[in-house]
Amino acid sequence: MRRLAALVAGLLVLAGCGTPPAATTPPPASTVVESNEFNETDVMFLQMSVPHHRTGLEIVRLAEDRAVRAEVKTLAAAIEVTQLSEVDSMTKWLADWGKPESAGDNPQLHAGHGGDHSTSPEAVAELAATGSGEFEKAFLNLLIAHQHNAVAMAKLEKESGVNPQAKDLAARIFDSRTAQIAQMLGYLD
Amino acid sequence: MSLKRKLAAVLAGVGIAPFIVVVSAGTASAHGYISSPPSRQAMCAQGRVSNCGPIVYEPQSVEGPKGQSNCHAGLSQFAQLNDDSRPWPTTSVGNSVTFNWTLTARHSTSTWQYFVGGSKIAEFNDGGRQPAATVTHNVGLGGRTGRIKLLAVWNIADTPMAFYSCVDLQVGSGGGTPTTTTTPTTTTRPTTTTTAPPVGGTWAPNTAYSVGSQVSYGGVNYRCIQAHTSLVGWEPPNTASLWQRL
Repeated sequence: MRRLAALVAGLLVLAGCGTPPAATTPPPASTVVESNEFNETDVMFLQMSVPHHRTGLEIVRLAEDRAVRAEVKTLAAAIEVTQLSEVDSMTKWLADWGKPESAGDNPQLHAGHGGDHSTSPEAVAELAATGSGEFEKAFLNLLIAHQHNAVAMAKLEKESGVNPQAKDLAARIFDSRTAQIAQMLGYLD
Repeated sequence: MSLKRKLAAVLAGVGIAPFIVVVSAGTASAHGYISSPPSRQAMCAQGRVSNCGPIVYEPQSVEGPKGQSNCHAGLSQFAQLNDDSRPWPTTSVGNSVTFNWTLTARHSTSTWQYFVGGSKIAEFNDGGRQPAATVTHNVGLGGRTGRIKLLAVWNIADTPMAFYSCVDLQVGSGGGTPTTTTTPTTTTRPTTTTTAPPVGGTWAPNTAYSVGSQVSYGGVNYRCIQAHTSLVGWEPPNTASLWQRL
């Protein structure tokens, strides 16, 4: 039985579960005990973040085969795998709570939550169509803006959410996106 | 306002939000700043200038009524941006500069204005259009040389608001090339270690890790499975897509 628990914990880690498994292994960093307690902010945060993350994935994948510096490509690839893993966690929590993955496209839904923080499909298409000479600059500016919006959403969740694992994820999104923006602003200089 | 009251206000706002049917145009979501050459808020967000206050997390939010001639939109929480006594690094440029904006919301725009020393040196009239995903302007500095503080203003078309960015430039005498090469004078840039640390080293942020690098974090060892420069928020126990627990 203990071996099974260890195996499950290991699989969770391999599966890219965003938060460390709760009780079985003593997590060294954050000690989040997952709970199914949640409020409207938790749901809204996850429902806004899932599509926002997926748009972010579309953006970073554009850097894969375009002419950008190696460090920009490396950052884009690392953002891709981490955001994929975060989407897995978020969709799992929403499913556990019996909530849909997205609240839909109605911007009015987001009015009380700081506005619609989406990057439009047109903006991503515009970036994709940018010529090689201008691509890296356009890529960085769009991704910086996109991650600023992630920081804004995470801030709301940090302040007003109640679900421990969603708040923990929000804290990590807040920190990691802020740091990504700092890196990218450095690449723009 | 105390933190507790602020939090209560936020909570109250979220609590009543589902019942609000009337929706404003959403000025709160219209945001932007000059990312390169780095504006003062970009310098702060990048960590090249420290002790900037909350602007670090939202350099796009320097929003205030139109017609101001300061760097902080008159917002007390961003007052540091308007403090010329701080050692703002300059960016070395020629007499023509390409300014790049990062926009987190593409709000319909009346004008983009550029000022030096109270004089308007350039204006771009968008006539109420929604800006493109990436906005760049080429601005001539009119033969000015030496250190200048440039103020850029993004005037929103359908609200009374504008966004303010100040950029500190060191203008060479070299004439018309639109070079934006930078050699900042005083910097406190966070150091990025470019070599992978030895096996068994302790994880640290702002470090370039390659696949196979090993670190310890909280007494546990991890192997890097995706090359990246480490960040606060990307600690090994929380990023199974970057680090494999050993």
